[in-house]
Amino acid sequence: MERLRTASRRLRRRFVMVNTLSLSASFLLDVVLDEKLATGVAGGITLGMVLLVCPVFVLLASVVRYDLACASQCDPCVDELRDAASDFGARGVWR
Amino acid sequence: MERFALAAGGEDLASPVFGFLLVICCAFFFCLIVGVRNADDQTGDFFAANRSLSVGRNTLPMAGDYILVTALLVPVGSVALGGYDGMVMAMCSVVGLVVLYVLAEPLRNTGRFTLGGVLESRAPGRAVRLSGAVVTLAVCAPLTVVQLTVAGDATAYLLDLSGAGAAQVCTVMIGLLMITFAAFGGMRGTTVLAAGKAVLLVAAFAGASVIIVNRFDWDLGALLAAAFEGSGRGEDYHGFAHLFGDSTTGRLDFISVSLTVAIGSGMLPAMIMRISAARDGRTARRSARNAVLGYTLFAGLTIILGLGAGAIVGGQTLAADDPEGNSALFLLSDALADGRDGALFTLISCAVFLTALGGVSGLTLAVSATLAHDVYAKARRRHRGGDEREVRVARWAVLAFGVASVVLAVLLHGWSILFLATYAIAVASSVILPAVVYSLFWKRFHRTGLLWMVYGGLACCTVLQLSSPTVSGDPTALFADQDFQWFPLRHIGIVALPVTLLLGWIGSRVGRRASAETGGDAKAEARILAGLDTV
Repeated sequence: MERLRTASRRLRRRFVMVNTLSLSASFLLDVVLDEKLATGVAGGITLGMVLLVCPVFVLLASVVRYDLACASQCDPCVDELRDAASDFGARGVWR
Repeated sequence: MERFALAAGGEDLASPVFGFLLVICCAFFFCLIVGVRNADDQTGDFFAANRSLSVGRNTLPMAGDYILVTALLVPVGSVALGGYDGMVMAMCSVVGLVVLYVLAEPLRNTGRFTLGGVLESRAPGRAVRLSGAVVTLAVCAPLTVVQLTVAGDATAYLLDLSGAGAAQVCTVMIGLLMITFAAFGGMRGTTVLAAGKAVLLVAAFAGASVIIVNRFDWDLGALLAAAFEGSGRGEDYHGFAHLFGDSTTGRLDFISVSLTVAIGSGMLPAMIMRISAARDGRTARRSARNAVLGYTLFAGLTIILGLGAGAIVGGQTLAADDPEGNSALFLLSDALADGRDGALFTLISCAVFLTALGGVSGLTLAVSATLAHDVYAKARRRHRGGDEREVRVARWAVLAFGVASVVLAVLLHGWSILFLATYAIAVASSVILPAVVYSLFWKRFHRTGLLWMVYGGLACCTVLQLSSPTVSGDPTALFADQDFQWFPLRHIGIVALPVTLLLGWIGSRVGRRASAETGGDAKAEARILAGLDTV
């Protein structure tokens, strides 16, 4: 249980931290740059678009990464615990 | 307001109308079939599809349930009229689903399908169950009324029914379908409906996007430039937080609504029920992951449609038809048909109709679950009749809530009630999210803190919303001719959220921690982390 607790907490905190930082940075740059967001970057794409798309990519990458990390670090612990619990007849019930 | 017939884009009027009516009939007959199949269902089956949904079967419904009709019509108009701000809002809605993704596994592991049940996993007691039921009603009732009103207006608009009471009649018809769906279909019925809605929406939006981008020779820069020209907003179009004005209050308002959408839109009680239908914790997590990826694609398509509306229809036409831009989607689809045929218009109309129907059915089911399970069976301890009696009570609750919502929606037609949706999302972000996060992850969270948080947060949200410019002191307010407004922001989340968090923290400090003596924390943690009932 301790292993599962530590792993899930670490992964969740990392996920929240990465995305909070990424979104906050994008948000702050939006506020600071404001009028300059209209500056063209390439092919009609503005700086604002780039600032909007970057955190979305970080978000999607971290979503996939978080799931993979959970699958490799947390799910085996859950399986072990469930196997142990099933020996004692523990099962899910509706509350 | 200029109106469009459903077949406005085509010469053959019968075909698009036929397509639209066909979808309505199919939806109704499907509902009857599911109802007959579910005639002898039990509580777990009716409310949560017996916790049997695999990743494949739960992904589309999860994405579908997340899209309400207001969340469909508003972003397109916001991007068309607001430019960059509208795109930021679309991105914030993606973040809302990501918040649900992080919470999906522990939420499913609690084994509860109502908000009251989830909150009770850390702080047991009847009062906690009841507080969950109160919040569920506070969120779902306003949202259902707004969805029904908007859906009635949209249907009358699409069918070109401009006579007195036409929108109200459409609202009643949609309401009847909603009641039938939720009462007979249960979770299995809403699952298929939500999946169909997601597929239809993506097909309609993808088709429209291809046509738009093709018109600009697949040059995104040209589309952006045309949207900028068409909006008529000048440099504000590319600027940040100008949607509600250039003043500090206006900019703060935009930041508040972004925050509210980003953290609250995934925390609706209907979404919590959707999570509970997954087979186990990891299935819920993976379904949510796929839903996030799919919804991001959909949000991207929404932005393209918004840009297309600005570029092809033009900001002036959009604002003249509806100052909020909520009719942008229909105006765009009609413009794209270009007098050739109304297939795209029909497809989008059907998608909007199914979105409305699926959204209100999900919300109604969530309310009926909380009334039957949390209030009737648990809080009043009337579980003697067993599962069948509880399901019967749930069906009566669907009927009562549905009729009340339809009556309210009909009475409030013509009033400025979009603030009800703002209020509902504000409660979801300021009350439900903190309560759920504290319940799942904070060991020291106590029953007193939970009750302070729920009732204090609810009171705070209600007082602030009633004192905001959405209710009085503004030409677009509910009571435009009165002025008792003192809170300057339309969107209250930026103030309500810190207040609620503080109330929960203080309440937990003040309250006595009984669960530490009984070992309740260890059991709760085992359940939340691994889905185990005992360790």
